[in-house]
Amino acid sequence: MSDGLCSLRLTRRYAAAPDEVWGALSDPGSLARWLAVPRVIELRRDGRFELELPGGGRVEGRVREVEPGRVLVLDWRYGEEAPSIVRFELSADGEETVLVLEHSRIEESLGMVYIARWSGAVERLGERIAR
Amino acid sequence: MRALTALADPTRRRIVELLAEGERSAGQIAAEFSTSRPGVSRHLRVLREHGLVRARDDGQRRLYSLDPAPLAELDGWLARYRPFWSNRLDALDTEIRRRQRRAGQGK
Repeated sequence: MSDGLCSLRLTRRYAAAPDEVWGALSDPGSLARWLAVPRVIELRRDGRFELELPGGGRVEGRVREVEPGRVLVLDWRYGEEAPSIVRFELSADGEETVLVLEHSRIEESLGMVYIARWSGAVERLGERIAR
Repeated sequence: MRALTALADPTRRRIVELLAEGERSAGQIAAEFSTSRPGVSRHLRVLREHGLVRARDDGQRRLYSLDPAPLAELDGWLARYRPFWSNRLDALDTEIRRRQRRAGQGK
């Protein structure tokens, strides 16, 4: 799944310790400022969450995995869209924190992952994504 | 889920791989397998039902090719989410700094 083609993967480096990044990532007040207003957020395994996006859309889902200061994995369901998975992973690097965000579209596109791996379409797709 | 089910079978994955190279007739596809011709036709039917493969008639033959629609859909999905997350993660940086400033003031 993490071939970077069919799942979206972004890496960022923040000048803060993992705990500080985690605070900003999980605190409801902070979430409202950088991501979306959390109408519900139960930060535990199987806990429910509901986000109201600035554009007016709504994301609902459950917490698949939570390891404070390190990993947060969410089931992501936006409107009528096929459910997908959003994963945040933090790791300390000296004084900084590296965050890897991976948004993978598990269901319908898992088949596409196979196709993309094998076919010439992967290069065309890769070019479009890189642009 | 639909595509996934169809691709659970190794013969069907191999057919998709073959069609990624270009259009093929059922006979050309069957020639690549030890599976019987009706067996291959059955796999092609499943792939069509799952929206992965499409067929067109060319005289006596029926030609099969990959359906680009699911890929185009995926492309649209990526085009939408990439800028979304990129902007959000920049906003996270601003939020981290804000929290750091606030914690600094608290000391």
